[in-house]
This record gives sequence, structure tokens and C-alpha cells, in this order.
Amino acid sequence: MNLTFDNASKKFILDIFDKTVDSESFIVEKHAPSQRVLTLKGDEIKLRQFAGIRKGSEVFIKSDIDSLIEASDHLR
Amino acid sequence: MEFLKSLAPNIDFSSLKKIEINILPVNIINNGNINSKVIENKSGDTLQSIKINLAQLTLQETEQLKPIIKDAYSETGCIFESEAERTIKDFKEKANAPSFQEQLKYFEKIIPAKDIPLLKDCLYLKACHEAGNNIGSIKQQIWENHGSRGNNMSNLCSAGYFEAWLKPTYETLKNEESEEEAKRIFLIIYENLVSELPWTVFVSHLKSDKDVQNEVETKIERNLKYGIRFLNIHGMGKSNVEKILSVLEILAKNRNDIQKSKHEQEKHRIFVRLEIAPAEPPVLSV
Repeated sequence: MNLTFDNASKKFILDIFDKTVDSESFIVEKHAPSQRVLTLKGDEIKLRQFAGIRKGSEVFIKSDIDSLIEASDHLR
Repeated sequence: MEFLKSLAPNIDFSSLKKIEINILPVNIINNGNINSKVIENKSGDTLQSIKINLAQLTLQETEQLKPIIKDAYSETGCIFESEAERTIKDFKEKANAPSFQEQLKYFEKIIPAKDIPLLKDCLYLKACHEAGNNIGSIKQQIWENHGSRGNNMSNLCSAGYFEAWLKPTYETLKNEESEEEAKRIFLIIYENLVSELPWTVFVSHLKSDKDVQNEVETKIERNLKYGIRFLNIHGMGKSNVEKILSVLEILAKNRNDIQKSKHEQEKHRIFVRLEIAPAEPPVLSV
């Protein structure tokens, strides 16, 4: 099974994972809005940069080519 | 699955391979699927994927869908935005090619570890270019993530310098030196090449004719100091081909020590190798 979402559905997907977006468009914890989500490299992520989530607890992935290639190493 | 069946009673979900969550634009909904909450995609009689159209779900249905997606995520281990998924699949497909793997395995052992993600980017860019895909966005991202080093390395990789020059250089060093020493010397050469591009000029749309002329002349003069008597010029795209031809005309007028030893030109690509003639020996007065 594969799971995807389109650009317009990002907020719905984030909501499923108890995340939302702050006033500067950064993804944050829904129940701790001052806590911005980080990538494995320690970067904060804006909604427009959000490309997905993979397991390994919850690894948030940015949409740039380096992040996607790095993510591909962890996928079947 | 019961919930999905309740949204689309006529669909047989038994062979479902993919769920796509969408907020579909009106023109797609109206294309025979007006008011559809679930749109199926079949291959023959077999269901391949479904698009769930959030725009058509009630608030209650949207809430009911959330745990279904979370459960599916527990099974798949990942969820991606559609465009990102396409890029990942495309990368995996291109990275499986023997030439990609061969170069990656060869160079990841001898270049600095920090450059390996960049090397993967560059090999992917090259594969996309060879497949005739649009590479503008990847080039831009390499520039944004790695700056001029990324730009230089991607240009060198796309122009074939990794296979045609860096690999033979390392092989020669290995034949003449211990492996440790060969790696040490190779790294010095590699570092100079990717940070300075000493004997190569890559012409991009961001450079004006004057920029290109200045870069060519500066590199020629600097190289001459070290006894390097050539310079390679590469350009992709019609406007860059024209730019290089115009600069070559100016150089030919300004200098009589430059000769083209190689000139490969197609409509959208040009490669010119300039050779610089040795200066006349000074006349010694007796």
C-alpha cells in the first residue's frame, strides 16, 4: 500500500499527526504551538516545504532534492 | 475498509494498492466525477488506487477518515506529497541504472563524505538530463543547497569530467603511489577542481557576454602562470551557444595566441577547447 496527498491537503495530513502551522507558516505541535517540528538535520519546516513523513519515530521530510534523495535510502 | 466502503459502496477495495488524499479542483470533479467522494483508478478490472476527495466529504466523514489514514501509515511507514513521491520513485529508478551505481560506488570511496549527498544530486541531475527531463528545478535546488561548489560539481559531472578525467586521474595515481598517498593527492586535485574549476568555464544564462569573456581571459592568464596551456568552454541552450560564439569572435580579434583545438557544436550545446600557443622565446642579444 502507498499513501500520498496533494499540495492542497497538507494541513489535513498534518492534523492527523497532531501538527498545525504557526503564524509564520512553520509546522508546529498542535498541543505545544511554540514547538516547531524539526527535520533530522535540525531544520524547521515551513508548510510549503513539507513533503512527507516517514517512520523512525516521526521523521519530517522537506521537499528539496537532498531531502528526498536521503528519504529514498530509507524506503523499500 | 468498512468506512471506505461506506463512502463508495460500488468499489471493490480488495486489491487496493494506493490511497491518494486530495482536494480536487472543480474542473476535475466535474469531469464525469461530480460529487464523487472516492474516485477509482483501475488497470483492466483491477483496482490500483483511489483518490479520496476531501472537498466532497462532510466534516464527520473527514474526522472518520483520519484514523484510517493513520492506520495505513502504520502499515506503509511513510506518507508523501504526490510530487515528492514521483521524485523519489524517479530517483530510485535512475539510481538503479548500472552507470549510476558504478560512478557512485567508485567516487564515494575517494571524495570527502560531506560531498556524497551532492554527488548523488549531480548523478541524478545528469541522468535526468540524459533522459531529456527538465532539469531547471534540480539545478536551482543544488545551487540553493550547496552554493557554487554544488554548481561546479554538477557542471563537471554533467559534462562527463568525473568519468573522463577524475577517474583516470585517480587510476594513474593508484598505479604510481600507495593507495593512501593516491587518495591524498587525488583529494587535493579534486578540491581544486570543484572549488575553482581551473581549466573549465561553464556558461550559464546568468552570465553576460562580458562576464564570460572576463572569466575566460582571467582563467587563461592564471593557468598560463602554472604552465596550463588550455581551457575548456561548455554551454547548454541556444542563447549560451550564441554567447560563447560571440565571445570567441572577440577573443580571436584580441589575441593571436589562442587556437580552437576542438569545437563540437549542436543547436543547443557547444564545447570548445582553446589551446594557448607558447610565447615566442626572448631574443637574446649577444
